[in-house]
Amino acid sequence: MSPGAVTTGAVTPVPPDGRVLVVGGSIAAATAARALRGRGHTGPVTLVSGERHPPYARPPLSKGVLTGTEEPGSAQLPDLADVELRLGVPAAGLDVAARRVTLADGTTLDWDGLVVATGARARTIPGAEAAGARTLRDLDDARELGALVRGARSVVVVGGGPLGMEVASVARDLGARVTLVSDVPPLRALMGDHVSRLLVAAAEAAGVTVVTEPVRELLARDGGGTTAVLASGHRVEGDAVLVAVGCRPNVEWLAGSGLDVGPGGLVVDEFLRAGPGVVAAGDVVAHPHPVGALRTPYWSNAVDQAMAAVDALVEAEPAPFRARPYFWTEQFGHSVKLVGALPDVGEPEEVASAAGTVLRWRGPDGVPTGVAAIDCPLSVPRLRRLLAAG
Amino acid sequence: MQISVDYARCEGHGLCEDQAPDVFTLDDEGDLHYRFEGQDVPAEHAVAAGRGAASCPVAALKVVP
Repeated sequence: MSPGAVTTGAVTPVPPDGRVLVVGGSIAAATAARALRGRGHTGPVTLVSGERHPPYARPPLSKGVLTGTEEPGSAQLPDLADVELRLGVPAAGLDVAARRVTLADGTTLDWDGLVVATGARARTIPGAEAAGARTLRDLDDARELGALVRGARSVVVVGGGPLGMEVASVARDLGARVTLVSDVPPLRALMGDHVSRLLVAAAEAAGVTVVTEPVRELLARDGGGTTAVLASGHRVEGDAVLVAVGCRPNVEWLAGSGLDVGPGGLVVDEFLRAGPGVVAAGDVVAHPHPVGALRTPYWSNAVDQAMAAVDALVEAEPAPFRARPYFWTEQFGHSVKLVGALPDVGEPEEVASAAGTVLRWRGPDGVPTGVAAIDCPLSVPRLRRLLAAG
Repeated sequence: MQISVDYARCEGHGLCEDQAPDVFTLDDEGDLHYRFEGQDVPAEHAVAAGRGAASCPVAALKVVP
């Protein structure tokens, strides 16, 4: 257990008939609830989410849901059998000693085991909302932004992460004039130089103007739209403006709980335990790492963590969580899948492949650190084998 | 329990195979092969199959009770 966290002492697993409360409404929460039932948990399982929609997949939100080609509800995750869903009211407080969660409407829920999976929300920049700029995190955001982008002649994306680049790609496909503003080269921090250069070149070839410069402020434009004022004083105007500058963990409801909460997320031990009877999974989690507690807010990580967290909740001797990173993006006509630790540093070697391009990076000791499949249909299990086969 | 596969939606990530290699496999072309197409999932594979379906990042796999 990390310093400052509630110490668990001897860990008592939640019995099969115990009450388990899952707080959160996305893939980590849904996976945890399903995993409990899958392993034969007979006690009540309740999922509490501030969202009014039942759990759905977020990856399509910056793709088909945004273009409007996917019908509403198509991204919904499989129904959760024998799980009580309480939607539309977020959790507001946690009392670990009393094993009780309080919801925003004052309802209290008692539990024997708690899974914290409240995820993250979009980061933004001061004044963005007043200037009419949008963020993209949930289904309602995607529908509203999609309608806006479909009617826009000009779109400005602030932020050069995968989400910003994917939205820029969709906006360009829909015919808008697109400017992407990022204070660092897009995608470099996450994916490394090589893949960053490839995708930025593809964006520029598709007609996107990429500006590497900080945004000083966002201003509402008369008659709608938003003006981005850059550090140089240069102004970029958009009928639609998206701010996509990362996400922040939803930990405020844990204030005063005694759990080890910081700006980086809810700190857990190597088993994903946060306190007595409390485990955590997904984008809210800061997991121990050699350089400090890190969040890895990716889909496959949320799935893997949710299953490991449930093991830690109900088993007397769980195995430590082991991350198996996988990240992918689709943009500007390219599909990129990455396995291994990110970012991929240095120049890769090319691995023979029947279709597309497969690249492999090695660390200073020659051991493979990452594999990328570019426009290549190889699945994740196969890419992992290439990583292990080195 | 059955699983319905929306093959048009599938993007070949293979996270289902990760969870349930005896139920879902992806070939060299990234095409999904589902072992129990059109039939009930045998009881001994049901838990893994459900886990595989739920791990799909593009919601291409649906569980039909």
